[in-house]
Amino acid sequence: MLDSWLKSIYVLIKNWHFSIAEALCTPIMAWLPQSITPHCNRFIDGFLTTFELVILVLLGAFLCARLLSGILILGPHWAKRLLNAYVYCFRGTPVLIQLWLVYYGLAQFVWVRESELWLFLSSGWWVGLIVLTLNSAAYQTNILFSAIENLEPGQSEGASSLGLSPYLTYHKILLPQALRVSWPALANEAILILKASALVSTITVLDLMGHARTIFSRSYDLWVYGGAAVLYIALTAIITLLAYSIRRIVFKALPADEWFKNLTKKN
Amino acid sequence: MESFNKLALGATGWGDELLFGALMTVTLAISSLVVGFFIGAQLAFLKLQPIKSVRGFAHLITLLFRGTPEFLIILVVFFGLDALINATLSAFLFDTSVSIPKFWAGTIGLGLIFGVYASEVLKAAYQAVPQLTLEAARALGLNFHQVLIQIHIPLMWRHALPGLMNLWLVLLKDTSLVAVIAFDELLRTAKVAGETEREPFIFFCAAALLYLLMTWLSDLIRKAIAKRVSIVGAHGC
Repeated sequence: MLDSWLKSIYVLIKNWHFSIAEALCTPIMAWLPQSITPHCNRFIDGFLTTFELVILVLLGAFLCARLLSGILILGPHWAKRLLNAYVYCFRGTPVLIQLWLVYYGLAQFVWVRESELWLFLSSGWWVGLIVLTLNSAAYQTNILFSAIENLEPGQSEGASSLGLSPYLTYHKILLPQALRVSWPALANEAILILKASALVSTITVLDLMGHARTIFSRSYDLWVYGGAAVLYIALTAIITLLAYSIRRIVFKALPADEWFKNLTKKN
Repeated sequence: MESFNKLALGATGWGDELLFGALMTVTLAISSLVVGFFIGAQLAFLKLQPIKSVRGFAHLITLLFRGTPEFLIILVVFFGLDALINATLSAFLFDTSVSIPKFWAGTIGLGLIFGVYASEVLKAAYQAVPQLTLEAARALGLNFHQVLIQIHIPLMWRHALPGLMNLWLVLLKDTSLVAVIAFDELLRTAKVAGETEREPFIFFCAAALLYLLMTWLSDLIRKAIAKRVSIVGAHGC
């Protein structure tokens, strides 16, 4: 049931990708380099796949990190220790080994292969989504937690003297301020996740890097990687712009703000 | 229990192979650090030049390398370096084809990535040295080179070292990417062992623990250095 449902969504999304690719590629065909022209559709499909994966990972990881840094602030002692261990393990090991551990490592156990979860764990895309989300959640928890720790202690004291519960203090007072302070660091983390998402191509996902590697393995033409690099830089620019506008709209940051000054600084 | 026996040292287990892989990882990381530091220093030098186009060039390189995945850079260096060298050789009518060892391809790729980030750290550290200190040194009669070598660079270190240690941790984790171009470092050894014994889980776990050990040790050193070079009140003024 779930299986066929997921498959039809997959087909739907792929069709959508390729219809966008058709519309985009036909007009610009003449200007593309010789070695990229026949593969333009696949590049656009990879571009969209990577973008969707990164956005899903970032949203999921942000929700997790909000929850986890709340537990780190308010939770019981054992939960804090557990979370610290989780953050330490995910920050201390490479992303590639995390991906391979889940994708190749877990498949060795029969009980995993027979469980309900196998539907997700057998697909590279889902493993990539889960592992990258856990990884990014660890980094974002670290960023949010240290931002909250560095706030003025008067903030939480004032909130509790007004009679706010610890939960409300965290959600209404501490978290918004911490987000404001740590937004540049979170945007940086988003770029890092975009770059780490290229690694899901090693577990059979056809994202931008996956398509580039398949095309390269047939033609051995380095311009293919050049094209992929240009698209990745475009993705970096898109994510930076998104972070910039979210900060502008949600946090009402003004152009006089420190971060804006740094971005537009003349050297 | 039988799976743990496969991690034993000696001919029966894979323990010594894994440890050798870890040694290769550390060697690769250190050699990339050296190459990367050299590249970073050159880029930082370019970024501090008064000529605008030179600075623009260095910033363009930084933008390109920071916007593309590390994985892509490693693959391009691995496949591109051979092609580049062979094209150069054939342009000078040498009829030989060489192939770069994977270790050096990995070193150059990782060194480029490290260098681009290090250049930003070094540039910021160079500019963080208080101008008054340098003017005082000049007032004492030291010439430009003496100020640079004896005052500016030694004072720069304490600003640069924390950032460089962070980059070292990133570099240590990035060495795992070289496994994809089949250089036998820790991750690749673990993968081969897992495939041979048909028990990938335990070998990946062992490799992950070794990586944790390496980052833990680096973190200890980082903290010790940060404590040693920290300046009381330096960030205030």
